[in-house]
Amino acid sequence: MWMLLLLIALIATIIFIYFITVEPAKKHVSEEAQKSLINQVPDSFKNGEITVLVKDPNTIFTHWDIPKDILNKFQAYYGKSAWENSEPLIRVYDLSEGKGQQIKEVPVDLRANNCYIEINRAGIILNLELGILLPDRSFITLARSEAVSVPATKFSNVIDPFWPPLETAWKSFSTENNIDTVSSQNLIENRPHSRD
Amino acid sequence: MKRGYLALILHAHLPFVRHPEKIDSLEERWLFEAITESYIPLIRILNKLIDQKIEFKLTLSLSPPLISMLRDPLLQQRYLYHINNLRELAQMEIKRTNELPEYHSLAHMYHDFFNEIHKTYLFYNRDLISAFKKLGKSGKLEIITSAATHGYLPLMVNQHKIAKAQIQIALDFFEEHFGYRPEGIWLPECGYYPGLDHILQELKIKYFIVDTHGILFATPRPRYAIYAPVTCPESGVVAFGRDLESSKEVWSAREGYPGDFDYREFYRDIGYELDLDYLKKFLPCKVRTDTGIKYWRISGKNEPKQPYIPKWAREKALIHADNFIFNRERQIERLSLNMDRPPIIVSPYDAELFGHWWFEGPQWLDFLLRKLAKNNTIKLTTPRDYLQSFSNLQPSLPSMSSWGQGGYNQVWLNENNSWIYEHLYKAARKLIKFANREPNPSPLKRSALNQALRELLLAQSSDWAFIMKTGTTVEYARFRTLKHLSNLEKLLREIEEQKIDDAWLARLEQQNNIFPCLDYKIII
Repeated sequence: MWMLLLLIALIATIIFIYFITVEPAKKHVSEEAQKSLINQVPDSFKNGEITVLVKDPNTIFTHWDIPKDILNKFQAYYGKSAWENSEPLIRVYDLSEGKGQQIKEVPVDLRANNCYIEINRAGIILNLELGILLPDRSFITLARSEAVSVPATKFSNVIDPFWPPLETAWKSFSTENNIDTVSSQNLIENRPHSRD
Repeated sequence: MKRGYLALILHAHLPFVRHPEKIDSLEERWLFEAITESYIPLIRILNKLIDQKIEFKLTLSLSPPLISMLRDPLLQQRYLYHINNLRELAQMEIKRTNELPEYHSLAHMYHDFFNEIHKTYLFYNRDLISAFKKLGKSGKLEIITSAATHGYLPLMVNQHKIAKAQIQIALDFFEEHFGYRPEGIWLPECGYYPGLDHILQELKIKYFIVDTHGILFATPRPRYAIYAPVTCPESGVVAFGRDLESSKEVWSAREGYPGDFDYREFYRDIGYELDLDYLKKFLPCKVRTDTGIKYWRISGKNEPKQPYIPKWAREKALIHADNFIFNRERQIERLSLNMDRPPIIVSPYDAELFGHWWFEGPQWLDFLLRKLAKNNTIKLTTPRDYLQSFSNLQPSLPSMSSWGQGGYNQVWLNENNSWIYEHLYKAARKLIKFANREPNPSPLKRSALNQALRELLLAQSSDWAFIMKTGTTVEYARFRTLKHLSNLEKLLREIEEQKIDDAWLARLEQQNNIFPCLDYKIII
């Protein structure tokens, strides 16, 4: 009888090892597992960082640094085939309403470490997640950026009843389109009759 | 009765271009040209107004790198050599142009001009900061400052400690030199992002200036558009908005006053035109560059450059001062009809525009201030004085903005310069980590950490990204960014390995000697 039990235990162990090493990508990746993976990111300047900067109301710039050991751990955990069939992505979230709503998903090449992303969402607050989309469509976050505000391009619709806009003051600014800016660059670039 | 206010604000800044390792640095000439053409002429004009008891109000922002360079003994000595060279060159020009009457009188003009500048420089014992301090004490000139190395703050949005350090170090440094903390700050490139006002509030700054759209797109919508400041709702810091109309008149080389055909042509200089052998003593490493002697006026389109006629240019400066006042009067009259408080027009400019880029700019400013002293409609003010009279301001949060081309961050973040941010961010994170690890370092380690912070701040100067974008001296901007980052990296490596090269550190401290009282703990 004990021999039978031993055999069953042995088979169960083989099956367990098979599932965690040979085809790990098929298993369900729980939120806890994702968190645990992020927690493996050592807290140092070299590890798992993504930064987002606003270029203008339509475009953001992001740069990231995912150290090799994170990617190695990923491969060890999910398997080489999962890695080869997965897709690195940046997800853009609109945080304006408090809860993040995904507004864009951009495939990236992890061999690069930066890219511009067109967002065309002036006035929102956003953040980014850089992660891996597995063949089973689960998304493993490797790094998360801080939130940034994208500047507005329109006059605010919010009116303070104690300070209603005064027509005389706003007369020169009838539309957003006639607002320009001038700076020292204008002086350098636009000067007529330059040396050339 | 005065019906509205005009706040003229000049922002004086140059990147830290001190090169003790070189004998004749091309970049130090940026400073020398600005001293000759802008800073000393401004000091002379304002002093004369005070001597003649002419009432005026003006705000001047002096950036910390500029204060540091103007106070630096090595640069002071080098400037003296430079201005003496110019005096000698002008003397040679008087001889050379003896048979060229159109240019001969101009050679005399430059000779007199350089002599006057030299005289003023010696009068203040080479210390122009003492001259500005004296002007500040008159109560007519409000002097403020900018961020430590003119770092572009909206691109430090994710690094609160570093953005705060840029401001705090600037305020401490300003206080060391001027004996008080300024009430306002000039945000480099007018670069503001929501949240920056909290840092300003922590550091007891009362006001800052944003570009026009920073106020127009504020929330809630400002009642008076840009013609009254707003107060940031949570921090209580006040934001003044730039007036676009008056900015264009002076800024725009195409539509504005500086492009007038009678004004001196900036881009034609004898440094590019006369025989190299004749000029070699006056050019750095015999490289052709501007000498400051320019004989031509802008002249009409499609016509050859004509000789400069100072009398005509002076008359134009007078006409343009009148025109500026006329336009402001109309603006104020129109606005004040329905406003329940006098409108304020805020007109900020780069100080180097006046004199360096626009040779007649100081003359124009002189005419303007004299005429405004007698004007019945417009009252000159400073943001500080305005806030003493008006405290009931609308709460409204300005929008992220800058005065760079396009109005946002695109001048300092684009395909030409975006590569720097990854390095700047990593370097800052690493330095903060090291600083936190070392609460009680040895004196040598402390010096190394202080210098590392100095190097980071110098790498963050907005000028490098700006130059990379404009494409003027890109190699120098790249070199400066990478050099400071590599210095920082080496310092941290040596700290890590407990092998600080004290001789190298001492050389670095001597070379990049800005902020001698800096304490790295500011970023902890």
